[in-house]
Amino acid sequence: MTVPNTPPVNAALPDTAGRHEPVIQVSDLQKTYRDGWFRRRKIQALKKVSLEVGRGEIFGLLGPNGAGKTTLIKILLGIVHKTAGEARLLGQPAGRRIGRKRVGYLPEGHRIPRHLTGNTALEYYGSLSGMSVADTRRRRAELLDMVGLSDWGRTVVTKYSKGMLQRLGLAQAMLHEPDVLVLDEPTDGVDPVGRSEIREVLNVLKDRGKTIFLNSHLLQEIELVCDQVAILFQGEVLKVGPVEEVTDLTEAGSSEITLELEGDGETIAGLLPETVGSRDQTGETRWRVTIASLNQDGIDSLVDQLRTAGISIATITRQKLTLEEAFLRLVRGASGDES
Amino acid sequence: MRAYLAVIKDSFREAFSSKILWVLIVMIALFLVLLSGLSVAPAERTGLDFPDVFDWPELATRLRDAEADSPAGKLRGRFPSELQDNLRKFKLDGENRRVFRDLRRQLNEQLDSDDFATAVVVPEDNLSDEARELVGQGENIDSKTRQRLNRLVLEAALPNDIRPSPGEVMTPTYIGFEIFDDFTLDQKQLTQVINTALQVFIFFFVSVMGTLIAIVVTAPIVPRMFEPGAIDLLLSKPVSRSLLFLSKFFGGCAFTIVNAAFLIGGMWLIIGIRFDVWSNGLLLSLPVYLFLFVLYYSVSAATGVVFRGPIISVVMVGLFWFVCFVVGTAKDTAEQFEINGSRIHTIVPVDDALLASNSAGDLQIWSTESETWERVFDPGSERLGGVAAMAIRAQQGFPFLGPIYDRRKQRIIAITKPTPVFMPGGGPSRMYIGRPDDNWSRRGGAMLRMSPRSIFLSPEGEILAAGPAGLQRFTGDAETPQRPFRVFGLDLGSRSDAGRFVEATPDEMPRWNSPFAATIDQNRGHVVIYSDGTLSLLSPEKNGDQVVYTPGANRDLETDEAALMAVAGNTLLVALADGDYRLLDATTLEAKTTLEGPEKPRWAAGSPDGRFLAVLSHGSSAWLYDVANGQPVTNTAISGEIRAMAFTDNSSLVVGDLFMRATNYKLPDFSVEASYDPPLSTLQSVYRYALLPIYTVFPKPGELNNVITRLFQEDSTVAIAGNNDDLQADQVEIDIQTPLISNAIFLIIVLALTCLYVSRKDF
Repeated sequence: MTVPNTPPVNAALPDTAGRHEPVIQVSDLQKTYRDGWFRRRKIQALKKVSLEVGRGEIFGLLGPNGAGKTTLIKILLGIVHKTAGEARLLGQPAGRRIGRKRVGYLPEGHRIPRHLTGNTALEYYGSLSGMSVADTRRRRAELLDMVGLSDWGRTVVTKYSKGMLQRLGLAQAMLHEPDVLVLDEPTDGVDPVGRSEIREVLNVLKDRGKTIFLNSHLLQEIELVCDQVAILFQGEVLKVGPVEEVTDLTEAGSSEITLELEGDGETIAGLLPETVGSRDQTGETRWRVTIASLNQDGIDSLVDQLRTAGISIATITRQKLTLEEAFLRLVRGASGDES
Repeated sequence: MRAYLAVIKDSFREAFSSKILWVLIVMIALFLVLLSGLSVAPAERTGLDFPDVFDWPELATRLRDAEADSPAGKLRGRFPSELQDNLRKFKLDGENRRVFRDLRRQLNEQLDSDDFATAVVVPEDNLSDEARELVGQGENIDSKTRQRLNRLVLEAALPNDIRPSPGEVMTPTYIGFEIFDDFTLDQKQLTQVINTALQVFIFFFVSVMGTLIAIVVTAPIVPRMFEPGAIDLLLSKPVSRSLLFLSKFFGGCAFTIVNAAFLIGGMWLIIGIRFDVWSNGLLLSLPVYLFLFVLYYSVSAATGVVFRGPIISVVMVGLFWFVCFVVGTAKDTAEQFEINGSRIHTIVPVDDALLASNSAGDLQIWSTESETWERVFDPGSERLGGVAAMAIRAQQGFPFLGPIYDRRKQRIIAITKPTPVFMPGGGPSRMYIGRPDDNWSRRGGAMLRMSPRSIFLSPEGEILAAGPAGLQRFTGDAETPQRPFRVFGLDLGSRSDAGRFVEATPDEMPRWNSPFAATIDQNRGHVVIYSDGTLSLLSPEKNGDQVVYTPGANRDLETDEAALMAVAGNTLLVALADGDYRLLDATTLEAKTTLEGPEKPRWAAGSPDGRFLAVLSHGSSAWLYDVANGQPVTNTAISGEIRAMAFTDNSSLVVGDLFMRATNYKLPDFSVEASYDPPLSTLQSVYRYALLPIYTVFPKPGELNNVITRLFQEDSTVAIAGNNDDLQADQVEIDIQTPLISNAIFLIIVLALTCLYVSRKDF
């Protein structure tokens, strides 16, 4: 996969407050599906969701299956009608055709008609996006090359692997040079090399000032490319912000500490604060202790107390959560609250 | 717009990627190749078939009575002695079928002989141009040409008996080989045969099979578009949902368009090139068929959008067809068995009573006591019921000429129409009489050998019957029972000496040609004949104690349209089928003026006071003309679906509509003198208030075949007895407007509802 060396377009500059101008604005968005005979059963897919995505950002939307991620995307694109609240895309109410014109969308599990080839598929979707056939033909070689399908343009899509279809889907989303890309599971079915190539494409697009709204189960991917993330669970936003903020689940100024100690176990136990997470014996007189939340003063005080009691401190480590760990903790926590 | 065109373009791309399409295209191509082998080769009409003779009994009579040195006598002299004996003994009321069979065989043998033309000498003036040209070629003609010459000589020898055969005829061939022996067609017949064959083909292979295949093949197109993963990608594009659906819907017709256009276009070209029949009807049947398909496809697409499955789409189309079929069949069945027959057809004012007949031919009299109609003139044991009656009605329509009222003798007279003898109740024309003092029961039964078109009374009270075969008058007692001679229920004729029809014109009057019409001028006693665009006045002249109608003034109207005639005062109305109405002087046939009237008149009459002329058309529109100024008299009383009209003795107008409702209007102010409004029967009520409204609002895909039928013929109505030249005969109107409009409304509603569903649905 090669990324064309074209200069950035629409390069986004941060506003005076440090955030870019918002291209996606969602506030108190609600969606209730009705189901069953006479549509009497209600399913609340989104419960007052609020978030904002700035121009030029890569925004990751996380959440388990059924969290409402796809519903949120579909409301933004006008595929699903909202029940209440507000959603705006590129300054327009969500669903407006003028807004959709500047968006490229790659749905999860998209289906390209079986009779199309890579070339004709791009021609078809390009025309649907308002492009002339000549413009599409001019751009498609470059795009197919970008997604690694330059030799497959004349092949019917029935002969494509799942990963190739995903790449073709990505190409059609980028075809009309949209300002915003909404990608639902873009690396689904793509091998690790391909994923890395897609990441590379996303970074190039970001450099060109494109806003990318990403929805993926692969949290490592999100962590690697996203500026902002939101965690959605059962229709509610659990956390939204930069990745560092989302992964920091401790109180302000606190962090998780792991200590390797040598000494009497009972003395150690007596000195540990209430926030101790675990205390495991790793040798005859060696212990590993995890404390969930401790600020700097607490650390200093604990070190003083341990040393005074004759306990040796072999190592002391400040722990940082991965996005996956933060996600799981948040979701499990929310599940616990629910139960 | 570009986006929607892309969807339509993609549909064609999809169609061309379909293997089924290519299989069908190959099959159609094979069919067209096979069809292209059919052609016609020039041929000559020789020999003699039964339909080539106008009237076999008349031919036998002429050969029996011919002078020995006349061409007919010379021909008879060439027959074997046994046949000559049989001809000598020939009687009209005998069992003659064997004689006709022998006569035909013998005539064909004569037509094959080498010396026929020289032996049966016909004056050269009587020969046709073609015959003269062949005679001019002398003896050096091949046997086929000689047979043709013999046939032409026979036609010239017996001009009133042998149907003239066209000079340029063809015989069908396949890859150059003749398909049938001795089978020829002229260009008009060929066009008719081809149009009929095309009509049947379009109905079975295109409308029925083509639609079925197209619906099954196209059923997955819309559901596939609405599959998850496909629809959300499309809806994310800057396009309108409704237009996206409509583009896909019309694009979905691509498959059908390609196949139907290839088949119909190919057939049109091949038939045009091979037979020189460039059928516009065939070409125009393509959009009609596509409309039919679109109608079914709209149901398929709407189901596909809601349920997203092709199988349920096909099932729903089947269900839709079934419901339409049931509604249409229920209406047709009710009409065929009861409703059509029970509509008012003919009104006969009788002194102070009113008689009227329904379309089934049941004559009824209005009872002022019960305020309803009571049946009279019943055929009793001869009465047919159920399917037999329906079959007869379907074959001949209204079964009578008349009835007319004979005021002088206070009786009604009706002549039954001839029907093929093999049909139940079939047989030759018979005249029946009904009298009020006998409660109008049917009596008489005198047989007519010709096919009459008109029946009227002369001013002297003579019963006259006119048809292309001649003008005949009745002599003897019309009321003496003359029972048909029946074998296995078939009326084989028989004749009584009590009364019979005889020629009322001088001997050797030539036959009149079609289109034919006749009327009588009651003031002067003239009979006016319209024959192939020419009017002839036959004036009554005393010849001993008999009246003979001899030809007088003639006028060529320079038209070949069928016509109806009526006389009011001194004015003769000739109402031509195309709506061109001519007013002429009834005595001199001088043209007075022309006016526009309804097309296809089916009844015309002049008021007894000579002030008005009334015309009723097959399209149920009624017009009244003021003879003084030749202008139409307009009034709401004669608007709507008028089905029967008649003038009374005092020149008031009785107008019949609906089932058996009639109103007597005084002219010219249209004040109501009497009304006859019987209650509806249960079936009529169900039909009028339930069946008809349901049928009206329902789509009528099946009736689009009427549109295709209409494309293959010139006229908007078809005579049910198959003779469009006889305007009095019942005709069925081919209604193309109702199915087109009702189906278009249904299509628009289905598509609009589907668009609404698509635009509101969360995908």
